[in-house]
Amino acid sequence: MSTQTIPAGVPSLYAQMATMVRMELLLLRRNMTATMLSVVTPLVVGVLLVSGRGYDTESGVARMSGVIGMVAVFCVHHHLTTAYASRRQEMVLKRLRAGIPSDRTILIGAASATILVFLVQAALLVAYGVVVLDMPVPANPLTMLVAMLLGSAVLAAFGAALSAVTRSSEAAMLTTLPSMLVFLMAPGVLVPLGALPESVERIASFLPMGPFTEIMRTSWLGHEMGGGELLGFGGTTLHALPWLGALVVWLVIGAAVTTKYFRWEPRH
Amino acid sequence: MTDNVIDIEGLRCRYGAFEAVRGISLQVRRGELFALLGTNGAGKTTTIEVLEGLNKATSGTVEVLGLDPIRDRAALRPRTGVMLQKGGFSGSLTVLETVNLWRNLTAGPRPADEALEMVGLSDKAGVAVEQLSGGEGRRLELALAVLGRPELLFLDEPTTGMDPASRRRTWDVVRELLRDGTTVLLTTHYLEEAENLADRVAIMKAGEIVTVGTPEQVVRALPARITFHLPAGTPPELSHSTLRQDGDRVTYHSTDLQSDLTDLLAWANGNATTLTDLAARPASLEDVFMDIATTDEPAEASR
Repeated sequence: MSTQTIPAGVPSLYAQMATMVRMELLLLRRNMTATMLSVVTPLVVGVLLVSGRGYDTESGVARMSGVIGMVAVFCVHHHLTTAYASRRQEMVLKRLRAGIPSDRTILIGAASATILVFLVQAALLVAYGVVVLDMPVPANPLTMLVAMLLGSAVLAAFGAALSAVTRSSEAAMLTTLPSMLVFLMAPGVLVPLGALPESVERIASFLPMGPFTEIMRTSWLGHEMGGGELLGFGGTTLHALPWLGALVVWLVIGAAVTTKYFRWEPRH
Repeated sequence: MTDNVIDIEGLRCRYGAFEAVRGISLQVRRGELFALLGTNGAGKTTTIEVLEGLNKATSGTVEVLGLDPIRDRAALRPRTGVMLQKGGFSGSLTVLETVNLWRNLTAGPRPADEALEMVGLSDKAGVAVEQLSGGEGRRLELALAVLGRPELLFLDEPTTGMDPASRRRTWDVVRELLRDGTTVLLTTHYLEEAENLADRVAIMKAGEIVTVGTPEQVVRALPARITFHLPAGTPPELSHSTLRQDGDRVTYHSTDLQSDLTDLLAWANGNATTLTDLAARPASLEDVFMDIATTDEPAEASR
C-alpha cells in the first residue's frame, strides 16, 4: 500500500512549517521571561564581549565570529533543548504527532523559528561590527549565511537529541551544561585561537563550532587569518567547502542520534 | 461484507518487560460508537494509541480504514480526529489562538467560531489555555479533535474531570457526530458513559478483552440480584439462584428474578419473617464491571 492519494484539503508542507514557526514565535512572545533569558541576554553579552578596544581588524572579526558562535550555542542549542522538553511535557509533541504533520515537520518546524531568531541576531551583530566597530563589510556574506544555517542546524539537532534526557525546561540548565561546554570549547569561540596547546587545538577545531568560526572569519575578512592572499568571492567559497562538509557530517550525526533517541512523550 | 473501520487481530504491546496488551481482537463497524471500558492499567490507552499511530504494536495486525496507522499515516491522518487522555496544547496560548493555529494543521477545518460554539467555549476565546478549568480544557481538546470533520474519532477518556453538565454536553456533541455518520472509538472508566453512548462495549482487564457485545448482551450474562438482612433463621433455596450469606446479610444471584422473588416472598410470608432492607434489581453494566474488576474469571457474553 505504498501509493495512496492524499485526501484533498491537507495543508501543504510549507503551510504546516509556517504554522509551526508561527506557534513557536507566538510562544516566545508569550513567555517573555524565558525569551529574555535565552534570546536577549546572550545577545547583550555578545555585544559587551566585542566592544572592548584594542582589536585590529583581524582579531576583531575573529572575536565577533566567536561571539556569534556563542550566541548560537545559547540561543539555538540551549533554547531548543528547553523548548522541546517543555513541549514534550505538555504533550504538545504527542498531540502534533497524532495529527497531520510528519515527525520531521514537527521537529524541523519547531527548530526553524529558533534558527530564524538566531539569524536575525547574527545579522544585528554583524551590522553592529561594521557600523559601530569599524569592521570591514563581509567579503562573502553568502557563505557566512550557509555556515550559520548549517551550524545552527547542527546545534538544533543536538538540542533535540539532548531533550530526550531532559525531563523539564528547568532540567535543561543541567543537561545542556556538558554539551554547551563542548560546543563553546572549539577554538575561536570563547577561547581565542592559539590559546590552547597546538595538539589540543587541532582536535578541538573539529568540534562543530570550529568549522563554523573558521568559515565566518575567512569569508568575512576575505582572506585567511594571519594575512593570507586575498581570496575574493570564489576563493572564500572554495575555502569554506571542506569546513561546510565537516558541518554536514556533524549534522548527519546529530540527526541520527535524534532519530534514535528522541522521545515524543514523557516516560511512563 | 460489513464495512469495518477498525480491524484488530491478536494485538500485543510490550513495554520492556511489561505486556500492556495481551492479544486482543476486535472490529469496529462504520457509524457505530464502540467503547473500551476498563479500570486504569487495563490497556485501553495503549490500544487506542496503537490505532492512532502513536504506539507500535509488538505483534498482531491493526487496520484503520483499511490502512496501517503508522506506515500509511499521511493518507490516514486527515480522516481521523484524536483526543488524547490528557494535554496536548501549550498553556500560554489563548483558546482562539490554539484553534486558529490548529486549523492550519487540519484538512478541511471548520470555522473557528463554529468549533468553539459546538463545545460551548465561545465566551472563553481570549482566555489562556492554562487558565481554563479541567472540564473546559477537555472541551477544547474535543473541539480540536473534531475540527476537521473526521470520519473516525478517537476519544480517550473524554469526560474525565468534567462536571456533570459538561459531560452531558459532550455526550450531546458525540451523539450529533454519530448522527452525521462519524465512527467513534471511545475509552472510558465511566460505566454510565458506556451505557449511554455505546452501540457495543468491550471490557478490558489486564491487557485482555474479557467480554464484548452490546451493553444489553453484556449485561444479560450476569444474573439479577436479591439482597436483604435476615436477623435469624435460614434463608430458603430458590430454584434459579445461588445463595451467598455474610453474617445476616443475604445475597441471591438469580437468573429468573420474578420467579425467585415470588418464591422468596411467599416463604417470608409463610414463616412470618421480616426481610429487612429488601432490594431486587436486574444486572447492570456496573455489575459486569465490578464483577470483572474484582474476580479473575472472565464472563462470557455473545460476541
